[in-house]
Amino acid sequence: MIKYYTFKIKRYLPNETPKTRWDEFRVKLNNMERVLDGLIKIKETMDGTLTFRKSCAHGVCGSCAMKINGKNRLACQTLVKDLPEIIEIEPLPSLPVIKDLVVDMTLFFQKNDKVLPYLINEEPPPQRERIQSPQDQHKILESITCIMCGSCTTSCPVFWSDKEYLGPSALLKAYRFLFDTRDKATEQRLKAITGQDGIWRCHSIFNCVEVCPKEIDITKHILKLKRLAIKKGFKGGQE
Amino acid sequence: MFSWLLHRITGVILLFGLMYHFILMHFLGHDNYSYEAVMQRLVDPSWKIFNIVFLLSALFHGFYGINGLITEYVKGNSMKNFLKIFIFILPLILAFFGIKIVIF
Amino acid sequence: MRYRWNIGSLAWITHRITGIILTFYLIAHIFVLSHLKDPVAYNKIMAIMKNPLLKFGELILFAIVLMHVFAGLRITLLEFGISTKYQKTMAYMGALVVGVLWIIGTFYFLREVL
Ligand code: SF4
Ligand code: FES
Repeated sequence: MIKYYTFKIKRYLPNETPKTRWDEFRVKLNNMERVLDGLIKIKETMDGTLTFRKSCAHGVCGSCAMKINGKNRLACQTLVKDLPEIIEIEPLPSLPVIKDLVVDMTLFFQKNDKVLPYLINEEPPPQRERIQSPQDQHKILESITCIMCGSCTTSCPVFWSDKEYLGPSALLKAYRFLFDTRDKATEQRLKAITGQDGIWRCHSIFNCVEVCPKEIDITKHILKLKRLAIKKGFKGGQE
Repeated sequence: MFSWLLHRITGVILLFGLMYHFILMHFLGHDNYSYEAVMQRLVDPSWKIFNIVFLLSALFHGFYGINGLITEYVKGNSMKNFLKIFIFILPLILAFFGIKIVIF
Repeated sequence: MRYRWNIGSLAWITHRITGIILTFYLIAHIFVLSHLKDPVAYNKIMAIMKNPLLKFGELILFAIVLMHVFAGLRITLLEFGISTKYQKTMAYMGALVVGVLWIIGTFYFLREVL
């Protein structure tokens, strides 16, 4: 089934004008096509200046996250047939916009760095790799699937108002290493996430769970982190 | 963390306290909040303890919440610090007034 | 900025706004009570409180307390181990219980006024 869709896109072209504007494009798409296909069609046939990020087009790289009809999602994973005829597209909320739908993700990745996103284990490594049993892997399986698209952190009302907050994505990363049985830096990691801007800022709003394209229950993981911190009696930071 | 946990605990205390408060003051009829009834209850030490715990819990719970709001919504560090000191002192003053009336 | 609401964020914003109102009410409440030591002043205030308009205000306060309590209860239960699978159910149930309790409350409040 082929249908016309109206793409309303929030444009920001700093070289032309510092003001944002809404552009409308009418695109013919079939019901197997995704928002990303529409965007590519616009760029190729209507307006070459339209700028957006994409790479894999299969929901793996996480570069095409944007706000579609009031909700963050991946353009390459959202079928147009699931949307109304008017499709409103904006960049991810609350991050500085570079151009059109491209946002500056520096802040997002800085948060990620703050939770030490690498394995810490001072013990001498065994002959071959550090073995992880399937059961142990199962504990962190859900959190490993994160593709770091940034949908969750930029959907969080706490992050909107408090840019110091680590945000769901970084906390999920912290979980991924804290609950990894091969990792030994529990204390250090808890210290990094239990400060004033860490887990205690999460109010279980579930906006992040609502948007995650990998359907990760992020809040569940943050709640587990809170329980772990309480169990270890961990203070860290001022609060 | 301890303040966070205390926030939850005071929340639960307030839940039961409020239940009691509402039932006593509003659902069980008029006699419970006449001047004599209130004063008579205040003389009883267990009521004193209940009132003080209730008061302190409410103050802590409320102002911990406001503290979070300041962390999240106030921009600028000097303003933030000023407000944080302010909402640290304010509940202490209120606690003083509250305890004064309960005890004396 | 417009962003789509869902039951979780609605519960959060309700919790937040009612929390702010209640803290201000708490300040006022303590302030007023701490100035009531002699029977004359006390009875005067109590007479004012009989005013139906203020009774109505009390009803609204009751609603605010209920909303705050049940929003907080949901969050606390989640934090102490209830599965997040039930978060939406809990939010809807909470709203229902708040409604029912408020109607029961209204009944009692009205009886006092009449
Ligand atoms: S948790 Fe989900 S929404 Fe957040 S960055 Fe990872 S994949 Fe994206
Ligand atoms: S383009 Fe890679 S996730 Fe959409």
